[in-house]
Amino acid sequence: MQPDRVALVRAIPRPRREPAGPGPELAVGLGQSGCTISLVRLPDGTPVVRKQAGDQRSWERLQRQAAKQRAFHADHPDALITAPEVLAVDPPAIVMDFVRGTSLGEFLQQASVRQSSAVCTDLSAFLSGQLQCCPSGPAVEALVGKLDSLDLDHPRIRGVPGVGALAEAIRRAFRAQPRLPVGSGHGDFSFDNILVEQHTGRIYLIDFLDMPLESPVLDVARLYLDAAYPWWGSYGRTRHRLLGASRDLAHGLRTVLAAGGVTERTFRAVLALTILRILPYTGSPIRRGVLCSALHDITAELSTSETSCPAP
Amino acid sequence: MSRTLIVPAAGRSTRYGLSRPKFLLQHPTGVTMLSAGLAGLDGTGITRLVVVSLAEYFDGPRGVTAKHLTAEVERVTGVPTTVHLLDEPTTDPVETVIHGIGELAEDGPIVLKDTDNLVGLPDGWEQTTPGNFVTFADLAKFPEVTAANKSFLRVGMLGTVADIAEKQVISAHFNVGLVGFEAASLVVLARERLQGGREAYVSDVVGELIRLGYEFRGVEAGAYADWGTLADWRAYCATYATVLCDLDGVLCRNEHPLSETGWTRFDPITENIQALLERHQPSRTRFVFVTSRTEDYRPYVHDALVAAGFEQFDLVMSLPHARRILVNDFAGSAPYPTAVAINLPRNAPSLREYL
Repeated sequence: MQPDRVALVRAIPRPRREPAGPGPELAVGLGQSGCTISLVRLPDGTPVVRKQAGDQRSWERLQRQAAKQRAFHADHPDALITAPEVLAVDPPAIVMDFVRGTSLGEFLQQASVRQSSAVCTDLSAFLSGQLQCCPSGPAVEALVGKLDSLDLDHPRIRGVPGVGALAEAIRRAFRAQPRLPVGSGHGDFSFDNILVEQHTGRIYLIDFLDMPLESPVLDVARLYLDAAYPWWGSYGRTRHRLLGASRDLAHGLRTVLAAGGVTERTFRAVLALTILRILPYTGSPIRRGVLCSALHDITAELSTSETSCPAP
Repeated sequence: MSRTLIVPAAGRSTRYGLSRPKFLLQHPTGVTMLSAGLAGLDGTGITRLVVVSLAEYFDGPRGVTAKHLTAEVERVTGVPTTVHLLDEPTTDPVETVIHGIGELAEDGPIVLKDTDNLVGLPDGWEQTTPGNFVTFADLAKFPEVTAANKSFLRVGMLGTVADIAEKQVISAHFNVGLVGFEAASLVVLARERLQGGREAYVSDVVGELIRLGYEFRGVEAGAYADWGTLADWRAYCATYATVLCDLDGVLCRNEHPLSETGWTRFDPITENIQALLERHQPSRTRFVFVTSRTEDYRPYVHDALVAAGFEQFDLVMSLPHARRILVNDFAGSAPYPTAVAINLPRNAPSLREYL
């Protein structure tokens, strides 16, 4: 790790939710797909995270997630960007290292410009490296297949004007660039699933997810979505701070994709697909509003890029 | 349709120039302007209410508390209410609204209402009004309205809002500040697209959504009272009054208790009674009649006043046959003079000239 980054990150205030108190269970929360997440203490006092599935389907999903997380940790054990080590699989739960950190979204609201800039640069460099390592492979079938599997008549999607035409534009964009860098990806590379460790500045990826196409392109798009269209935190002044911090990250990610040979049109189509995948699970009106605004932008951009770059 | 009403109340009330925000001023009925302005919303399908305001407006020495304001609004509207307090002022009213939207766990229909008015809605409003609507009034019916402070809209033949503009008179129809959205997220969507450094108003949000292809219905208000400026508010408050009025020699001919008929007789001075009833709307006036006639004569006097046309009144009897002095306080929100006295020649039918 770069020493100046460590010093910068160490200066960040400690998190407000500090695990404390006696007993094996320190905190409990709900995770994705009905999982229960507990912060527990091992006999030697070490705090660890226990993630327990709610049903058979979520247990199967959790096992795939654990396998992805283990593989990523094995590939990046001492890297600047890693994953918490999966310590045990204890059906229907997995136990992993506890990371004392804040999500990237919270971090960018609290950190100084220098601190934010350092972390964003590291993330861009990481994704650039992932893209460079991936060979080009067929992508169109998997992506169009995912789009076709979405329920565009879902109550949380059907209100979006022109969604049918948008889906057609996405299909055309995928067909215009049928091959993309293909290799392992995170699956939900969002601000929520990137933790910045408080006292080391290391970045930990959590909540790995299945992907319709294993490709870092989808991770870049997911991160870009949060960077270019941040939605959480207070809508007021702290959000403006977040906007400033993440704007540079968004710019960096576009550069990364261009260097990886991904066209702007394909990138916008992946972004739109990402939003359509998220919308059915998004209840918060603020988040929905921001996502729908992004969708309007992307729809207009897709239309423009089709006109300027007609399909061969 | 179940809707959440969001009331942005975090403005500085600069046009009022008073020490406290206008929405906390006391309406003549005793509740705050905020609560009084919500009184016309019966039957609108509002099932939740969120008021967004600034923490600094509450809990000061002898000030209004958020807890008591919440209880008052719930009592007036019968709707569960949250008062969401912000630590810092917002950049514009739309940002204030979005803080209220942040209180909602799920997206759904919302209605936004200004604090500084009273809007009456036409019958059947709930059944016929879609999620997206703008309530308007005709300037010709409300000529006293300050047009420079309003947004105006053009409503097409089919009742759809074609255009809306802030502080530009593009038609005779002005937005009365009661606007509905089929989903709270639409406000956020529009605000995201209006980022440009300038203040955004709710009319800007509606305009942006219309440009994006969303349809808004124009709904004409059934009634409207504008309290946007201190002058508006004072003029409105002046339509309320407590009238303390003597009987003998003012509303009826003066009688001596030892005359043939004595105080059982009530010979009305019709001109004065008519002047009083015409000048003061009974629903906004508390009539308190005072007299030296003794309590023994209450049934006679009461029946005579009812026969004269007074429905609701108080009757204070057995007062000294002497001078009556009225004392009342005045302040910026209730300007001088708050105590008005009329000395009328005995039995003169000329009260109208002095009211």
